[in-house]
Amino acid sequence: MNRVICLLSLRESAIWIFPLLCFLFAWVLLSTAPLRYYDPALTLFGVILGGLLAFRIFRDSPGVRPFLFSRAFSPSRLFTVRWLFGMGVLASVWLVVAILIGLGIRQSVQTSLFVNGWYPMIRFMELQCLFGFITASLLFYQGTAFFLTLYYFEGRRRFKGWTRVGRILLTVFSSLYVILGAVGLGAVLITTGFYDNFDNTLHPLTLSYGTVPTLVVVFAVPALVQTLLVPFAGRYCYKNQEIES
Amino acid sequence: MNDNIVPSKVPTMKPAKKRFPWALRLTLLAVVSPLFVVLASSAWETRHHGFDPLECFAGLVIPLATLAYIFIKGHWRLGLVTMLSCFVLYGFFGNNENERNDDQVKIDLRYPGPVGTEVYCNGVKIGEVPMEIRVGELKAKVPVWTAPPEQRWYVGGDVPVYTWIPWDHFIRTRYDARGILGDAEEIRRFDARSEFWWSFRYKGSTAIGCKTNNDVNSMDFDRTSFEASGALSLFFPTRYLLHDLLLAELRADSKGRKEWNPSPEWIDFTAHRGQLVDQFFEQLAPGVREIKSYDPLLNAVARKRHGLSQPATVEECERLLRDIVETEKTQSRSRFSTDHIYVYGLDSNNTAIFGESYICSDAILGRAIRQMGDACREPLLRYCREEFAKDDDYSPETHALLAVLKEYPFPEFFDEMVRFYAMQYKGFSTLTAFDDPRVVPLVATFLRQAPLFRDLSEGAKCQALLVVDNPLLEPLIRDYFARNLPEIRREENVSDLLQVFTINRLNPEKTPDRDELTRWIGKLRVKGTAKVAALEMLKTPPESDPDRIVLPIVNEDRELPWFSWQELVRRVKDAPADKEFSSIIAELLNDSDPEVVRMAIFQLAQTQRFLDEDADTEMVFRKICQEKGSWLNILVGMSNQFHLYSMETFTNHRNGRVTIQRAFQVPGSYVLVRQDNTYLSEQSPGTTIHQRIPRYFTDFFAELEKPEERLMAAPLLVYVAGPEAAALLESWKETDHKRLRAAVLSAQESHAARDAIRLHHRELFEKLHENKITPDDILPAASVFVWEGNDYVKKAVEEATQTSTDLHLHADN
Repeated sequence: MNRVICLLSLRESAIWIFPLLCFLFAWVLLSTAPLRYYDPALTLFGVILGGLLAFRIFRDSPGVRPFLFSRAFSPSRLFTVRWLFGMGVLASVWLVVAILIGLGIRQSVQTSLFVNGWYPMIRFMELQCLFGFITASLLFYQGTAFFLTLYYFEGRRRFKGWTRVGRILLTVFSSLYVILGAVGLGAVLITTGFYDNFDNTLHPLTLSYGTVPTLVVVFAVPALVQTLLVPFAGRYCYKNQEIES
Repeated sequence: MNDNIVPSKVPTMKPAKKRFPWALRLTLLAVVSPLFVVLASSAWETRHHGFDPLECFAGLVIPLATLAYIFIKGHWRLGLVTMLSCFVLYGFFGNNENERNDDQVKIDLRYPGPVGTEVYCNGVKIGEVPMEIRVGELKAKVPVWTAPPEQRWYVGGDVPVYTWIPWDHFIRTRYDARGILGDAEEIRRFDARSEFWWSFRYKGSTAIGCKTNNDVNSMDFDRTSFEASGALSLFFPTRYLLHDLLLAELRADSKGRKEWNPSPEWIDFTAHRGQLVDQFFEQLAPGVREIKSYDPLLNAVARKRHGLSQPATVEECERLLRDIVETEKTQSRSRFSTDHIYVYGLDSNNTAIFGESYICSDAILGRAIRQMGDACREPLLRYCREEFAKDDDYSPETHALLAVLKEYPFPEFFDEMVRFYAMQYKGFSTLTAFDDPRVVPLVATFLRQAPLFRDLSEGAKCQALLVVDNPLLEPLIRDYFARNLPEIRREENVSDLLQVFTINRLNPEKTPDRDELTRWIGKLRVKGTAKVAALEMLKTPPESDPDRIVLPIVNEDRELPWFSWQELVRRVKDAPADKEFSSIIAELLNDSDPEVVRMAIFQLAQTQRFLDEDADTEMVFRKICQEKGSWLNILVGMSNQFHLYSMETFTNHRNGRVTIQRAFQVPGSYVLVRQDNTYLSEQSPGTTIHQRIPRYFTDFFAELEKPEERLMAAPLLVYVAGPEAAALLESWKETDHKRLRAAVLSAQESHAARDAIRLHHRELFEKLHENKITPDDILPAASVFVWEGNDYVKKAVEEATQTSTDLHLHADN
């Protein structure tokens, strides 16, 4: 039973995740700059990986969902197996990245292809990049899984009167935030010259150890708490949601 | 029937309200919490300048209420939008320095003077720099002065001992009338209404507060804190006087210019006067030759000040490093700076990354660091590991430790240094100082593909490499220059780079084979003009070369002739006894032109070389004297050096009025206070009337027969110590030559005056050292200025002396 659920999840996600993983592993092997505690590119990979994986696993097309919920296994088992499958994929990716760096495969590639002088001094130091990668992928995996589950749990509700107005306003505000945020970020990047201007305060390459506790408090701890809570919340939602046939 | 069964009104079926369990609520909280943490921490950061209601509301209250709302009601969409609104609100209105209660206004006194400067407000000591105090606390501590205090020095409002800066309640409350500060007259009236008057002292020296005009006019008085650094800098009038006194003491006990025999008292006194005497050493040794000759002296002072024995022990190094780290943490100004080298095509922010080369601005501390030796290995590496691991934002202590580490690049720390650089991209010059072969491929990687470097132009990379001082990297650097210099378009840039490259390699220790470097430059594929400029540098030693004696231009078409002193000494030693000095010079210059030879001897005389009392100098001098007429050049040269200050100095001393204008050279302006000032002599830095002419000169003076020659030599005998000089002057007095007799009488008088001044200086120095007087006491009895109506007016002299004493007492209380 579990195998079937896993296969279904694999079928849904593999076609998206596989190319992403190819890019990720190639990047880990070929990126010439030292990988650091908070590596912007690797964190972005983590964000995309976590979000995409959860989206592909937990989003069901309208026809599939009633079919799944009419099977013999319980909805909570469905959620648990799906969630565990996603976590397993994530953990495997983390492990592969750690092996590439820790066992010196990246070092060999770098020294043979690029005559990179950073090695072997920074070989084990680079393992610290896993922090950002793991945190980002975990945070976005759990967040996406949770909100998708919540979305199905709340179901399609009809809004009338003031609640309808409020709903529209909320949607407009949310859209505005996203648009203005993107425009603002673009403006900041353009006015500061982004990579052309090596402003120490903005450039992600200058990182101090002082930011590490902040990153832990702001991202790692919530990610851990989510990892503990999302299975319970998800199982509850799956058990109590209404399925339209 | 059925109709009866069917109810007339079907009740409406409300959709069943979904339950929202605690697990769901908690998960929502966990998802939203990063937003809340960021907002709350930003609001918490503002606590340093007092809580602002709006900031608290947008940063803490609303987000907290939102979290509660999400948790209780489970409406996460509304919650999220509210939370994001808080970000916008906070972005617009947060961190806004609004007008606050005066009691909360912070007065920032971290910068006005050296660390340890005592801060007085209305005569009450409130702390030492660096410090901060809130106005409420200040008001509780000090009484209000209703009228402006008497000022010891006051020249047009620019040099007051008591100043209303950094803060005054009156100015704070009248900020809306700040326009009146544009007028100097109004400023004085404005000052008069101040209730808080500040003064500063450092190691017994009272400071005068120098207002920076621009800052006073543009001061924003509606602020939540006042920084003294913006509007006030401190200057210590006693500083130059102490410098003169120290120099006098040093010269009096020295032999020539190279052998200094400072007394233990001198070293002890110098070591413990802090920043009051630190600039003394910069003035003392303007040239490389002088710096080298002062090396043992400066090292002794450095060891004394920082408690290092010779050789230093591990415990001493540990203590010094701890002092460096702790002081850098608390001190307002770092003693370690980075020498930024301009990098083509980049703005000033970027130069720090590439062109860094650490410099210890505290010269004595820098020497102490170099005195530690290998004993500092264990504590230094331990401190580096600790600081590198807990570094907050490339802190001053890390900066300082990188500077120390550059002096001691212990090989075992190389890996850790590389890892630190990979994290911070700071410390390039330290990293390249390591004597590890792996540094070569590492720097090659930087140049090729490392972040920060890869986007630089080739010229900028060449510029960055100029700070590298490591023989291991020399082939790489030369190779890089050879390949990339031709790629730089602007010819001036190529020339500049090549010149700096060459200058950095003029040191014989660094480049033992100059011919090889010359050949390398010759092969470069750059324009001839750039190469010629660099090759010229290799041909001619730099001006700071102690061995160099350059002749003035005799003929425009010819190169500047020069010869080396060491080479001259060698040739004089090897020359037969009957060989004339002019022949030696001619051979040395490879030029037999009598005019050039005469110029060379004259030029030799103009240097201060013959003030040295060593065997080589005496040998050359005796050789010159063998040649009739040649040594007169030496006399002329000596006279030129000594007559500059001697006449005025001795005349003023006889009249009891020696000016001290150097005491009031205020940074940014030059204020002369000449009235009533009698004390120390006025000298150019590096020379004093206590400078001595070697005793062997007396033998040659004694052989002079002609009155004209004696006339030239008489003023110089003032500077020859010992009874022989006095006896010679006495013997020359009996002559019919009127001018000679007058010159001898004047010289005798100056000789006596010189001794008197010497005794006076010695007495002052001893009293200072024994703390019988403070540095303030060696200042002239200054006039006192009192506030009358609209301005300060000078008090009468008799009255002033009394008031001056009162002022001291007033300040001390």
